[in-house]
Parts: sequence; structure tokens; C-alpha cells
Amino acid sequence: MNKKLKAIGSTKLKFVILLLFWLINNSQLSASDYLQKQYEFAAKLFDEEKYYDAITEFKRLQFFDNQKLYGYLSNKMIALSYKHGGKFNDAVKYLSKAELLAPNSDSLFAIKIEIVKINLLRKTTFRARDILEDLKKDTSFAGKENQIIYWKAWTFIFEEQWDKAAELFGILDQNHELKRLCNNTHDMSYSPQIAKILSTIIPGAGQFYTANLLSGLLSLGWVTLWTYLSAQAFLADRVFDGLMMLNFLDFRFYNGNIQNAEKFAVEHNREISDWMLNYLCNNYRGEKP
Amino acid sequence: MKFIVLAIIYTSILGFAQSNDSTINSLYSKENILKFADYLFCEEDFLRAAEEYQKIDEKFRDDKINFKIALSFSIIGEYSKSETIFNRINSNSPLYQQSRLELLKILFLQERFDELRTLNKNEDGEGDVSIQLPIKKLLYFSFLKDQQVPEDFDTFTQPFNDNEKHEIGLLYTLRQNLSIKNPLLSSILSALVPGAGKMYVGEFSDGLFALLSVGLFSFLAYDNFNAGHNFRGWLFTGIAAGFYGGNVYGSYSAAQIHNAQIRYEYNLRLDSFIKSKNYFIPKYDFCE
Repeated sequence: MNKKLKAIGSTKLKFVILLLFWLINNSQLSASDYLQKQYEFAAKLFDEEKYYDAITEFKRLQFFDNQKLYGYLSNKMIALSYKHGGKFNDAVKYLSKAELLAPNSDSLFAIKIEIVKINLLRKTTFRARDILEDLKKDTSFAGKENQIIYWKAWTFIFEEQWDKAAELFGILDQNHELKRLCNNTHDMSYSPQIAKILSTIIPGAGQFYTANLLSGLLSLGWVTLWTYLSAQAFLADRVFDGLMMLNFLDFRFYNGNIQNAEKFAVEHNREISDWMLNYLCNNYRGEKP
Repeated sequence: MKFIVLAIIYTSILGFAQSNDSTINSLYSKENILKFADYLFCEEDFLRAAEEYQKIDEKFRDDKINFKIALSFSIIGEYSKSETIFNRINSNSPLYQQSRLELLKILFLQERFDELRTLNKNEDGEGDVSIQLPIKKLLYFSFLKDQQVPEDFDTFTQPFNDNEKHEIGLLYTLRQNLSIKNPLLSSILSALVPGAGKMYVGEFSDGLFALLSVGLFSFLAYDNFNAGHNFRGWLFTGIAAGFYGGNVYGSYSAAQIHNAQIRYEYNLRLDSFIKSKNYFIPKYDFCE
């Protein structure tokens, strides 16, 4: 009788253990399974460039992911979706969250570089450079110097300092495609300083330098005319008339001519830079912000 | 025993197979959608929150959910959607009074002041005091916004509490004394005495410069014509006429710019105050 009872007890115990094992096994499997499915669904939306919906689904994943199994990935993907939507501040906010959950130094470095890229896109290049300087000093990122130099060169591109950018790309590779493009852009640019100096020496010369011939001729003509008339007034002993013409007409046109020359150079450089940035955005196949 | 083990293995496989299809849907169950929408609402991601709430079938949506949808739309500036949903909230609902208040806020934000006053008149005396008072405050504040301030200061400030009275008093006084300038008068003044219009607007240095430059070039023109230097005479006449015309036109523009700036700064102060007071609407406890 006792043996029978013991046998029943042992069977019951086995049954309870197996049941518990089954319950735990199944519950764990389903929890990770639905999170995995949700991640795949959100990632699919991201791949289909449905960034708004992707953000919603990654946020849903985050909300139900109590153990933060997808904390790093979901924050990163939300940030990238915001980035594609042009919401750079939100992107940085989520990248900062991802930074705290980065599983290793490679992931952390990737996140930092993403933050650099967003700072480039929102034209806070000084912030991008600060981050790159911090990365350079951090010994845990030794061996990633080339990547740091590469992105530093991009900060110069966004600051329209094409010569400095070309120099840095040259450190990475003397035949780097970006080095060649930056050098070309630099060669096509005009120096606002030279334009100003030329127009200071000969009115209109700065405009000729920036290929604005009509404006150069007009500047030269006006300044010559008012100088001549002022001189004529002085020679006729009408000093006050001469001073008024010098001050209100001659100097005004002369100063305007210098400012104009500088403006032409700056505008031309801006056009060249915008064209080149647009070209890089659409045609450059390498890594870009 | 073998039978039990086999049964467990079988049910496990069955359960796993089923979980592949059904567990993903568990995130989209009504309860989970509501939980997620509440989370988004409290995270102030209002557009997504509204969209999530709207995923719940309309027949299962209670007034609280509808209220949150309408509030989310109102916050993101989708006023027409918000209005429609607020209007659907039943008069028996505990959120009915708040929805009326939110509707008044929308009318205020859209500067539909006549409708705001009509709606308020229709509902005058309805609802409890906790709602009637914010409604009255919003209504009185709207008078500052559309420049119809009642004459009596005490009556005007009566609904506001002591903390609000000080700023409301300042805004009331400021409203009564906004230094609006007449652009036409300004340009006539400048036509009569160059620079006078600019001085009337408060731009004294510009006015003085206009007076001196017109005076100086007129004198030079007169002097050169007298001396027989006709070319320089006409040249200075042209410059004097340019300064004179510019000064008359500039005085008109200066008055317009002055008025726009005064109104902009006043409205900025009004908006900043009413925003800081949350449009006199009591805070909701949805996220506590």
C-alpha cells in the first residue's frame, strides 16, 4: 500500500515538474517570439521607408519589451527613422538613449558616429568636431582613427572649408575620391578677401575677378564720375560741395563696391558648395551623413 | 507516465505553433492598444497617441478615450478633428464640462471670439463652479485679445484669483494705453517738416537725420543754382528730393512697423501668460 502511495506521489511530482517546465518554456518562448516578430515588422517598415509607422512600431516594441532586450536596437532604429524624417533633435535624443544601452564598444562607436552625422546635417559642426575629438582621446576606440579622420573631414565639407577637407581625405588615401572632389571645389571657389582687396585698389576689379563684368563696369563708372565731380568742385573752390559729394556719393559707391565684390565671391562659393553637397548626396557611393 | 510526457510534448508543439500566429496579435489586442496609446499620450507623442486610440473600435471607445483623442488633436493643432470629437461627448459624461471648456479653448486659439461668446452665453450658469470660473476667465481674457476691453477695471478682473490679478491688471492697463500711431498723420507730418513723422513715431535720431539731410541738400542746391553751377544744382536737388520722398514714405512705414511691433509684443505677453496658466483649464490626472 505504502509503495503504491509512494509511486503515485513520485508520478505526481514528475508531472508537476514537467508541467512547470512546459509552462516556463512556453511562456519564455512566446515572449521573445512576439518581440522578435514585432522587431521584424518595424524593421520591414523602416526598409520600406515608412519611417513614421516604423517609429510607432519600434515604440510599441519598446513599450512591451520589459526586459529591454531590444532597448539598444529600437532606440537606434527610432533615431534613424527620425533622421530620415528630418527630425534631427528627436534623432539625437533617441541616439543618446541607445548610447546608454550599447552592448559593446563597437556599437557605442557606431552610435557616436551617428550623432556626429546628425550634427553635420543640422549644421552644428562644432558639436560634431567636439564628439570626434573626444573619440580620438578615448583609448577604447584605438584603431578607429581613420574613421575619426574621415568624419572630421566631413565637418570641414559642411563648413565649406574644402581645402582642409581635401587635406584630411589625403591622409587616408592620396587618391581618395573625396580628396579630388574637395580640391576641385576649392579650385572653383573665389577668395572673398582677394575680391575685397582688388575692389579697394581699383573699383570694380573685385567684380571682374568674380566674373560679374557689368557690375564691375558700373562700379568703376560711378566711382570715377563722383570722384571727377568732387575734384571739379574742389578745384572751383567749392570745398563744401566737394566734401558733400565725396561723402554722400563717392564714398558710398566706393564702399558699396567693396562690399559688393565680397558678396559676389561669397554667393558664388555658396552656390558651388551647395552644388557639390547636392552632388555628393546623390552620387557619392561611400559613407556620407 | 509515458502518456503524460507525450501529451505535454504534443501540447508544447501545438502551443508553439499557435504562438507564432497569435502572440504577435496580443500586442494589438484592445487592452494593449489602449495601454500603448496611454503611454504615447503621457510621453506627449500626441499624434501617435490619437492614432492608437482610434484603432480601438468606435463602439468600444468610452468618453475618456474620445476625450483623449480630441485633446491630442487639439494639442497638435488639428482643431477641426478635435472639435468634432469633443462635440460628440455626451452631456451625461463626467468629462462633458471639460470638453466644453476645451471647445472654448479651441475657439480662443482660432480667434473665433464671437462664437466663443455665443457658446458661453448659451451655457451660462450650466455646470459646476469649478468649470464656470475657468470659462469666465477665458471669456474675459478673450476681450484683451480682440481689443474690446470693458471699461470697468474691477468688473474685468473680478473672476481672477489674487495671483492672476496682478498680471491681468498690467495687461488691462497696457491694453488701454497701447501707443498706436497713425501712419497717415506720420507721413503728413514728415511732408510738412522733414523728419517730424519719424519723431512722432519715436525714432528721434532718424527724424533728425532726415531733417538735416533734406535741409543740407536743399541749401546746396539753392546755393549752386545761385552761383550758376546748374549741374551741381540739379544734382543736389535730386538728392534732396530723394531724401524728402524717402522720408515721407519711411514715416508711413515706420508708423506701421511701430504698430505691428507694439501689437506683436502685447500679444506675445498675452499668449505667454495664458499658456503659463494652461488657458485656465485645470490639469487632468490622466498620467498620474
